[in-house]
Order: sequence, then C-alpha cells, then structure tokens
Amino acid sequence: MKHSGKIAFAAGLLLALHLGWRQFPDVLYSKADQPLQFSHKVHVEDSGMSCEDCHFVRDDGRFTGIPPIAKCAECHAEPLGATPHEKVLVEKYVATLTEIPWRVYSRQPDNVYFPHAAHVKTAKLACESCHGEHGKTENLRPYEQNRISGYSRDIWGPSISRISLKGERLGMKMDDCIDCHTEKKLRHSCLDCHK
Amino acid sequence: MTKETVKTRPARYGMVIDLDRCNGCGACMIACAVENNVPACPEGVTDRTGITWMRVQKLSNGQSFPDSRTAFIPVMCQQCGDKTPCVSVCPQQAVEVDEASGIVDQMPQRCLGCRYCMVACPYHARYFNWWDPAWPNGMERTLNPDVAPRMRGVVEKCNFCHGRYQEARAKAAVDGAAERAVEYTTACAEACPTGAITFGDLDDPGSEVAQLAKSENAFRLLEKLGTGPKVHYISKRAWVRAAAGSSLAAETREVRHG
Amino acid sequence: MSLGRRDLLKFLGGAAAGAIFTPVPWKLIDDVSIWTQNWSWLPLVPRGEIQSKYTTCTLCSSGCPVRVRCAGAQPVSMWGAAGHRLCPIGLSAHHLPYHPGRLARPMEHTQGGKWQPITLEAAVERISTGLSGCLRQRGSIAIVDGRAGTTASLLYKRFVAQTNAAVYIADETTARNGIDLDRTSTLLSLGVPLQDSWGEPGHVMRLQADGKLTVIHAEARASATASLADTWLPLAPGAETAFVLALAHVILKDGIYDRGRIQKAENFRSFETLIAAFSPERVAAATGLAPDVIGDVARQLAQAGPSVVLAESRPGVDGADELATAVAALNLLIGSEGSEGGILARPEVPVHDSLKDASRVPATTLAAVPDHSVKVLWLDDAEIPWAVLERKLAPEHLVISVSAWPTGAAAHAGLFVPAPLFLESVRDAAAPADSAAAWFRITSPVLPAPPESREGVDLLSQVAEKIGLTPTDSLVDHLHRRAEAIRTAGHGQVVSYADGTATGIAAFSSAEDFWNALANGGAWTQAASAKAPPRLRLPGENSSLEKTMRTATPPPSNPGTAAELPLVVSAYTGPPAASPVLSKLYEESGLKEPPDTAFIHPQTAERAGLKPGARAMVEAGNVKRPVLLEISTLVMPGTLHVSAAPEFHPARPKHSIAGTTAANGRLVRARIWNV
Repeated sequence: MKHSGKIAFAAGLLLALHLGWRQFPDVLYSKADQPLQFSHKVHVEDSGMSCEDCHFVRDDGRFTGIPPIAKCAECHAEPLGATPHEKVLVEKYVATLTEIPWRVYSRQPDNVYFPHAAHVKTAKLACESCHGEHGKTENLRPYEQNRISGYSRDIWGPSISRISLKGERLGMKMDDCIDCHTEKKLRHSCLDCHK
Repeated sequence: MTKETVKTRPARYGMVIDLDRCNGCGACMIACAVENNVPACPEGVTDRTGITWMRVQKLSNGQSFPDSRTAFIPVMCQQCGDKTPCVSVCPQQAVEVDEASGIVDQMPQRCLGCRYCMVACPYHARYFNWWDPAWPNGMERTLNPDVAPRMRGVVEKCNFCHGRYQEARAKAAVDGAAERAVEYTTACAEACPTGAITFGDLDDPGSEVAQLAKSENAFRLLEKLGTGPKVHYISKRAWVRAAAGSSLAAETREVRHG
Repeated sequence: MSLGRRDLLKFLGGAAAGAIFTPVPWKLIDDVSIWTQNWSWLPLVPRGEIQSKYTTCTLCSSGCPVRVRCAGAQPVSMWGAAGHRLCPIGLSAHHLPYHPGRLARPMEHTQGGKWQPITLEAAVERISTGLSGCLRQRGSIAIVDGRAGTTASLLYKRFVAQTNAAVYIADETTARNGIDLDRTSTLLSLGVPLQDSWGEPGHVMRLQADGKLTVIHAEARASATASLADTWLPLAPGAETAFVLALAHVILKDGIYDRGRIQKAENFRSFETLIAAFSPERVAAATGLAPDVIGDVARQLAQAGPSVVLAESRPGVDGADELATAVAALNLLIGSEGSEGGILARPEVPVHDSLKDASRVPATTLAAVPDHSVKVLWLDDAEIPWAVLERKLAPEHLVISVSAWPTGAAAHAGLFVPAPLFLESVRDAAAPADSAAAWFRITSPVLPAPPESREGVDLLSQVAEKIGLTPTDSLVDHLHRRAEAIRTAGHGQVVSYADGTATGIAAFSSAEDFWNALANGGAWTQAASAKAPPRLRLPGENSSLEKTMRTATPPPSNPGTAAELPLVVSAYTGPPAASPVLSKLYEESGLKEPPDTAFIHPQTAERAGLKPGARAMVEAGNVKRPVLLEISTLVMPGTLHVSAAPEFHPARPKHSIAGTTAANGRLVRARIWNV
C-alpha cells in the first residue's frame, strides 16, 4: 500500500507519545501506601488544631517536621474515635512508643539544607506555598518514589512535564528554589542550601 | 540590586589556636570527624589517602636530648582570605568564598575530582575521597544529621563546621537578630579540653578571637605566600613561631592501616 | 496489506521522533545525573528530633558529665557538660556499641586459642562448677575489680565476706584519697602522663595556664607532659626512688619542714639515718641530674606549697612498692598529707545498711597474693598486665573476664562474658584522682544493652545462687538504695549537668526526686576537708628502700652491640578500645606512638650497631617481643623506649613487656637486636 510507510511512522510516533506521557510515569515511580492513614482535615477542621501545634520551628531554629510518636500519644493514649487506623496507631505505635515509619512526600536528599525558620519566620512564607493543600487532605495519598534517583515524586512535582498552564507550583527541585530566590533577588553561596 | 539570604551583618569568621595550651590529645580531630561525618577507613588507607579535616601535627625543635622539645599544631583549612589558591584553580567553581561568612566553601556535588586544588593548597588541608565512605558494623547510625556524607571521587575539607553555622543562622532567624553577626562555635573549639581554640568573628573588634589574633605572639602559617589565612596561632616559644614560616617537612612517613 | 522492513524502520523512526517529544529522555537524563551524585549505597544520616540526654562517662575514673546529642533515640555525638570537656575516647564513645572488636556474646577459649561462642547459661554453669570446686580452699578465688570504690565493689566484697575462699583485689588508693588539685601550687610528677590520660581532661593544663599550678615533671623522654611542664627533669629510668629520697635528704638537711609535727612521726630518727646516704651529690650520677637541680626542686616543693608528689601506680610490678613508699614519705615531709591543696581523705559516700558490713572488707594488693595459688580468677574491667596475673595462677585454673572488650588480660581468659557499655547500663562511676571530694554519679542508658551482656556483680549473683550462696539484689536496686542512703544522710549537694548549678540535698524531698535528679544528669558531691592523718609513719633503715642506692646505676654511655639497655615502657593506659575513627585519626596524624615500636637515641643506635626503621626483637627477662625500631632525639641516650600494644587479639603471643617492667623503682634492662 502506498501510505503504509506514513502510517507506520505515525503509529510509532503515537505509540511513543502514549508510552512516554501516559505509561512512563507509572513505570518510573514505585507506589507505596503509608503505614497508617491520617486525616489532616479531621485534626484541623474537626479538632480545631492549627498547623503549628505539630509542625513548628523550635526556639533553637530547628523545624520539628513530622511530630514524634510522643506528640501523638499526648492525645491518643486511648482511641478517641472508632477508625481502624486509630486503633493501629494506639496499639502498635503509641503503646510501645515506636516511631511511625512515615514516607515523607517532601523529603529532600541528605545534602540539602532547608531552614524552615528562614522561610517561615523571616520571609513569612505560608506553608501552602511549598506544600500546597496537604494540610487540608482527608487521606494520605500513596507515596511515589523515583526508581532511579530514589526521590519522592513531589520533588519533581505532580506534572511529569514540569509545565503548568495554570502557573501553579511545580515541585521542590533546586530549580524551583532558585526560581523563587531569583524572583526575590536573593544572593547565595552553595553551602547556604547544601550541607 | 541583591540582598543576602539572611539579613544579618556579614562576618569574617576566624580562629586562634594557642599552641602553648595544646597537649596533642587529639580531641579536636575526633570532635571534627564526628561532627562532619568523616568515615573510619577501609583497609590499605595511608596517611596520604585518609581523610582528616583537622590533623594535629607534631613539631620538634630539632635539638637532641635533653634539649629536645615537642609541640603540637592542629592544621586544618586555613580559610585563606586574600589569595585563595584553591578557588583560583578550581575548573568547576566548586570552591568559593562565602561573602556572608568569609568561609571557603567546598561543594562536593560540584567537584569533579581533578584534585588541582589539593596541589594548589600550601597547607595540605584538602582530602580526596579515594573510597566510598563506610562505617563498620552499623556505625553509620551515629552520623550527624546536619552534615551529608560525601561520595567517592570528590575533595573535601574543613568548612568551619558549616552545619553549625546553618543552625546558628536558623536560630538567628527565630530570634530576629538582624543586626548582629551570627554567633556560633566549631566542634573543635567546643571539644578542646584545654580551651586552646578560640573561634569567632574577626571583624568584631570586641570579640576574643579578634583581640587574640592581634597579640604579639600571634602568627599565621606561611604568611609569606600572602594567602591571608583566617586561622591564627599563638605561641610564646620562638622555635614554634619559626616553624610556621617554613614549609611542612617533606612527608616521608607513610602509615598504612590494617 | 503487507508490512515490509521499510515499514518497521519507519515505525521505529516515528517512535524515536515521538520519544523526543515525551518527557522520557529528559527525565531520565535528570534522574541518572541525580543518581550519580547520590549513590544508593552511601549511608543516609539519621532523622529525628534533636534532643540532649545526660549521663556519666565511666570509661575512666574521672566520671565526666556527658551531654549525649541524639537524633530521635539515636546518639549522634557526645560532649562534656557542666563546664567539663571530654577526652578523645569519650568524645567518640557513642561509636563503641558498633565497634567491630566488641564481643556481645559470652565466649569460651578453646585449646587452640580461639574464641568460641557459648550461651550465657553454659557460661554460668562453667563458672559455678569452677567456683564450687574451691569454695573451701582459702585464697583460691581472686576477684580483681578494675573500678574500685563503686557500688559494684561493695557487692564483690559482700561475696568475698560470704565465702572465706575468695580475696578481693583492687587498688583503693584513689577511692580513699584524692588530690585537692584545684588548690595545689606545685606538682612533682614522676613519669605520670599528666597531659595525656591522667585526671579530668585538660585539668592540669587549665590550672597551669591560669598560673595556679607549677608542674615539675621527671621523665626519661621529652614527652608531651615533659615539653609542657614548667620544669622538665630528664631523670634516668630506674633512679626514681633514689631521686625522691634525695629530695627528702635536702628537705631534712635544710630543715625546711614542719619540725614539730614530722619529728614526732614514727621512725623519724631511723628515716633520717636512711636518708643520709642519699645526698644529691651521691645520686647525681644515677639520676643524671645535677645536685643543684635536685636541691632547687626540693626547696621548691618545700617552700612553694601546697605541693604534691605523684608517681604512677603500677599494681603488681616489681619495684613499684619501693617507689610508692618513698613518695608517701616525701609527701608526708612536705606536709601534703591531709592538708589543703595536698592529698586529702575522701569523705565516705553513705552506704545502705545492707552493705555496711561488706564495706569493711579490706582490699588486698596483687603483690600480697602468693604465686601459683589462684584457681579461679575473676576479672572485672581489670587493666593489669597479663604477665603479672599469670604468675598468680595455679596450674589448674579458670580465668573469667567480665568486660566489654576481649582485650588486655581479658584476651587470655578462659571464659569471657560481655559487660554492657556505659551508654547501655546503670552503674556508678569511680572517684576521680584529681579531686578529693566524695562523688556519686550514675549512668543512664541511652541504648539497649546486648541481651547476653551482664554487669559483673549481677553475673556473680547469678552464680552465687547456683552454688548455694545468698544471691544479692541487682546492681540497679543497690544503686537506688545507696542514693536513698545518701539523701537521708543529708550531706552534700547535687550539681546539675544541664546548667552546672548546685542544689543542696535538703531540697530533695523524696527518694524518687533524688534518683531522678541523678539519672537525668546530676552528680552528688561532698567536699573534702583538711584533716591531719591520725598517725605519721616514715619508712626506716631496715625498709626495702635501703637497697635502692645499690640498684640505681646510670644508663651506659657507650653501649656495645650486645649491651642491655635500661627499658622504659609506655604501657597503654586508656580504655582498651577506642572508636575506629579515632584509631584512624591517630594513625594518620602520627600523633600517638604506634604500638610495638621501640625508640632509641640516634647516638645509641649507632654505638650499639642497630639499624633504625627495621624490625627488631626486644628481650627483657623471659619476655620477647617483636618491634619496629625507630630513632628519636626525644629519648635519653643509652635507654630503650618501647610503646607496648594493648593485647587486642587473642592470637597474639602471650607476652607483655609491660608486665615485667619496673619503669618505676627497680631498673629493668632489655636487649634489642635487629632481625
């Protein structure tokens, strides 16, 4: 047939585009559930807690990050509700004071130094400017990890192309840090952000 | 127009080591290694291939018994202020002098491992990772969370405990200390049992380190090269001061581990 | 429709063209470049909230307050607390639980000299059998306690009181007396490594730098302590006792002592006669020191007080007793016994009623134990050279070592039971040599102990029950009781590790309060007060000192090729194991003398025809050891200096140079030749 070559080319092109855009991310990232479900919504909206009750900058400038199990134990020494996840929390973790092996979406590699104190206290950035609406979620989505680099998918950002038509937050790569710092005309040395 | 990432007054951190107080115990070396995650060595490492950010050297007055005397001198990156040999030779821009602190920063992720800087450094203060860092028997659990382990193939050196500097800046951000330079101290200075090491801001005329650096028995290593080190030494002993002007004796000693 | 080869190629071409417009190549380049900078096999740093915990370091008797910096529950560094600084070994003590040389399981020595793991039950069984066989034989069981003066020591004493067959061996000098160093003006040290491993780290140097303390150091080598001393006396090895007696001679002759008090001392006249032979002129040749120098030192000691004379204690080593006797006499003469800035009797740490009887059980010295008499030898963290211990063993014997490390004498034990490290246990620290106060300081565990490890006294209690003796309660229980006894006695204060503040004991209203103050970082202490010793006694003419003059001879100035040289050994004095990172730093910096190395003056090497930088063999008495021979201008000509290795590996020859050497007191000569 006369057009068979063009069709083959087009088929190859379309297949590559399909695999590259649709299938590739699923292959590149492994998915794992969190050890436990946790609802920020329940804690913030229903219990009236604020972000800073658990995630705060200590007096010595360190950020507490994900609170230790002792913090959970302050309220959850006994189950407060009836969810199966809370039962696991109390029996498996609180009772033995074992830390929950959370998979951290925003975990940066060891050589990155990110001071929350400078960003939250000095620059007065809102949590959402980097972490989005994570503080309002009802469930913890599966943790996606890059099979090659070992990074969380959140570092690259949700869009595999890192192109956003709506101009929203892309990710937490070094480029993202630099973009924001350039916009604010900040100057740095390498070891300002690396350790 | 640019401004700095943290709105604090720039500092010029420096150190003064009183050699008449140094008894060569090596507390500074181990405090440094623990703070900065310097690994134990694999088999076959020598004193040339091993990593010792801070190395206490033995000095001898060259006399024979009973006039022989020993002194000790801790040598680490001298944090050159004027002509910084390592910065000028690095093809990767992996070394830079931080304007906010005066610290000569080494960026391991940028380093391509050519070791030109090691040749350029007159103080032998730079070390190359010939092996992947490894700790025996689960000892990596004791690593300092504030400092990342380096990988095989890159150069590293003393950076005046940059992890501590970062923490001090974070604390300054909480305290809102905008006008003062950030105050912190290095692991070696904190550990020294005899208080021989003083660390601080050389630009602050009231600081202890600035005053000690001006004392009459103060000197710097290889001052004739014009590198302007920010590490100063003090000794009342003339032969110790004289040793500072001469190049380190050719390293004939080769120690092999294991 | 038929698809040909061309179509397939076009399909692939289309796929390739399409791939460029997908994220695949670009993302892979990014990920791979990240991978090359973060190899997955590189260790990750621990994560967790940074917090400080407090405990006490019991690696040596200084008992330094420690702040343990933890990430979550994991210790990541160690720092001195309450104004104290740590030594290098303490600074890296959090590495020790992961030390590759640590044995965390009970071990048995097989005939072939290899360790073989056994269960704790089997170990207890073997010890019980060994002990029950000699329960009726007086002196057949010897317990050597390396941490004299602790609560565990009392529990050992309690066992000894129960059996009659056992003796308790410990050096209780430091437990009973301490040097009031903060108020001392002049310190004469006879080879004591003041700058190296003596007392609280940096203590002597800080006092020197503040102009409070003058150090006179006598040693046959320009060591760190010698180089940093205010006065260094290059004293010939073996002439230490003669030198001390010559100092006494000058003081008596010049009459610069408290006549009213000293002349009433027992044996005074006889001592005067003994001392008469030791004029500076007569000992000058043997000591290598000019008579004026000896005279000046004597006058400085007598007149620039408070002064203290200090000599290294080497338990069980020949000749060490003579030196100790001479030093005690000199200290008496210069008035340092029982006076401020001198040597003070430590106030007693109150003891609970249940251990009051045990606290009266006396300690024996190893020298008092007859040779070849011990059938069961129990070593708890004892750092006595094996050659010294071996002499005391009966032909049929069982040696049990309870220690974290199979090093030193423990390497020769038939049975090894691991003890927890101080970061893993609750125990109390011994008393520091450079303070005369009474102390009670406990450790708080920050890491779990290996399941098969035991504190020595807890193991012994388990054994005691098995052989029909009354077991004791656990060490932890006894520590609680002792804390309560201290609180109810109502003396002293608690110094907080967190901020160095002191709180009077009356402020603690309950046992729990007091215990928590100690366990969360606090030291109970009670200052010593000056009190003249009840009875003054000087050594007389017919004491062992009488022969000192005959044995002290100067080093040979022109040694021949087969000459025997006076031997100076720097034995390993720190804890037997240190962090592998620290060992590496020491080796790479060349800061510490490498073990098994002999140093000789270049002149002596030449005259004796020795080739430096080569292997050599050292022979002293019946002990031979291979060494590396180095030349050094720091050592005295005509002497041989050997740095002896800790016997880390059980496969090493069962010889220890340190064990046969009297670096103090009697002269030991060694032969050295290239091999």
